[in-house]
Amino acid sequence: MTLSELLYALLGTALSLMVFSYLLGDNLFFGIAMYILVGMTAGYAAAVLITKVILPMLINPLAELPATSALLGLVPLLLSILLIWMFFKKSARISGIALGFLGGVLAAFAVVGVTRGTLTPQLLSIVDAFDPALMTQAGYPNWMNIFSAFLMLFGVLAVLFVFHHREKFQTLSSGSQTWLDGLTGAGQVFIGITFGALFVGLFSSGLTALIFSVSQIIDFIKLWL
Amino acid sequence: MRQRLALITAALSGSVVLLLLFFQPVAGAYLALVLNWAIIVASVALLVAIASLLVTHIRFIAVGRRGFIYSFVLITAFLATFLPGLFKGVEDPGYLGWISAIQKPLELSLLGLIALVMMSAAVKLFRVRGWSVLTVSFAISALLFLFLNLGLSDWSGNQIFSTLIDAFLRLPVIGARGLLIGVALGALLVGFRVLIGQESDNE
Amino acid sequence: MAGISLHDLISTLIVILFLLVMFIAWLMGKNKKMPPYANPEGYERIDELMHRSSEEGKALLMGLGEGFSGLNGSLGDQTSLMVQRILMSRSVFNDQPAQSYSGDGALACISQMIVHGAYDKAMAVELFRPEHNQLTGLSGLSWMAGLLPELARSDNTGLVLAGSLRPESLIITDMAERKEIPVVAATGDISGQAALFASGAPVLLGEDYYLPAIGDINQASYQHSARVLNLFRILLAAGLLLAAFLKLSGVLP
Repeated sequence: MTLSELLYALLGTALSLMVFSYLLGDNLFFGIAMYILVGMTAGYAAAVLITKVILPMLINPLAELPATSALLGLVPLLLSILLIWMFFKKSARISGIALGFLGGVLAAFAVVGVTRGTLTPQLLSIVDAFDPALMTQAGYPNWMNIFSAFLMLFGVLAVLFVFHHREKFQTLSSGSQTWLDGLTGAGQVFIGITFGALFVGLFSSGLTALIFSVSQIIDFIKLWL
Repeated sequence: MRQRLALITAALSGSVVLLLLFFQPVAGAYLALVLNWAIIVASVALLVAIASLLVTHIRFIAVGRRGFIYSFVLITAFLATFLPGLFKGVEDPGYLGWISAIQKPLELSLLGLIALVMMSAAVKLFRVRGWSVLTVSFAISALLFLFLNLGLSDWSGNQIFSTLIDAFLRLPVIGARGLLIGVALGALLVGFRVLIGQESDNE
Repeated sequence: MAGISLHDLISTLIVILFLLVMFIAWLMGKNKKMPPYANPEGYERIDELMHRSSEEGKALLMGLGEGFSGLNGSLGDQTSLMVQRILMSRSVFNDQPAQSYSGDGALACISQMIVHGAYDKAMAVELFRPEHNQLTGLSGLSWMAGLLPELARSDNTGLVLAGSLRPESLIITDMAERKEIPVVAATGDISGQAALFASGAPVLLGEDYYLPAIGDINQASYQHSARVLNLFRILLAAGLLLAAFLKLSGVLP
């Protein structure tokens, strides 16, 4: 083991122990470990942004002025100046233009992303399960697939109606309320099952990380013993 | 006025990008250009926010605010990462080794800590949330999935059990699909509200 | 249009239908006799925290999530900014103003603009402190790492977590519980919802997160949003049933 490897191992062990000290209650060591993480990620991000985005994408193209590409580069430069202005003068109303631009672009991408990436594929997969080819197997009904398709349709609708917004002063005995309550109850069962499964999945990955961290600490201690 | 200016810009830029996305086959080059601008502006916003964070913590050190030692740690960690990255380059193997030697154990142990927190939260579930359809189905599902994930039993030899387990494993997909569709509808609504400049009542 | 896929066609149809439903809901909203919808329960708990903050003279903290990265979560942060706007409209003159912590640069800048706007509107710009709206970290974990020490301070009355929250945020609710600080969590991230459900904090589940309404604030926007989602849900359910039937009978390819 080289000296730098040894130092890194020592540092890693110390930091892990500082994080685990949270179990004894919130303390100085845990706070220090948290701020090291914040400082490091900020420092790394700042270095990456300056060397990989700001210099090559914003500053360097300006050397080619008055070429069209460089002229187009003046737009983000102007928006960036507006943002930097906000740093010096907190009341800079004009900085809102840069932030508004960013918010608008993100909203547009999100609308398309949500529709094409989530809604359509999810809806199509529900309907595709009703393909007649999947419903039979060697000329006989495939009961498992038939049951799965109908359960999926029912379950998804039930989950959707759990979040059906209700009027503020709705009477509890109305007929429409009864079927909605039934559907909502079934939907909650499906949500509970999903949350339970997700929880266990997350717990398993956390447990793997815990085992890895603890084994790193034990390995380091063994090194000295 | 201040936020109205931002809202108008958001509505305009968003609508233009939406149109560009719709006519992507012919407007691809323009879309790439706007996306490039957005990346630059987001990066500058991040740098401005980092600068603001540093200034705040330097001020905390200067006035000796309670817990200013944390601010000192933050500034030191920032400089110890930022300066070598700037001068040695962010792709330098030595630099990357230094970053991962600190970041990896911190993040891994935090994730490990979360496993312990999750365990204690799960134990207290019924005490804090009470008995309801949601909590009972959550608990049964979590227990069964934990049991299956541990791989303590092998049901592959029993046709009925393996069919039942197979069916059970598919159940979370149903809830996830319903939740995803609902969340997507909510996100779509917020997106359109931003695009038409009607995000909330009190802009 | 010759090469348009079924996927693109359905996506376009959804967008058009959704806009149409938004318009119909807006027309329906003009009828004042329409009974109002009840606010999502989780958001009502924020109202309690706001009252508590002004009564106790302590600060209400707000974690705005990890930022505009991610898929569905990218718009989750727009919602967290809406929540912040609502909070600020009530807490400008509190002894301790609400403090927010973001996990992304753009989010931190927009949040700062919103807070400054709230003070501006109340004609009390001199009370604005930029350090009360900080970036705390640049990823899910480091954002959380930056928020934890702030939460540990003694002069906090409550915490509102709203935005893109990872399941790891459970550690924030755990620390709040240890410090006896009430928390309300709202996120559009499903795995985040699953993890936070196990905590003692009130959690906004499913789409409820996207409809912030606290007390009487933001009611017009909320009532319209709730009507849109209710109408579109019924339309979607009918569409799914019809599509399943058509697929089963071999009419749909």
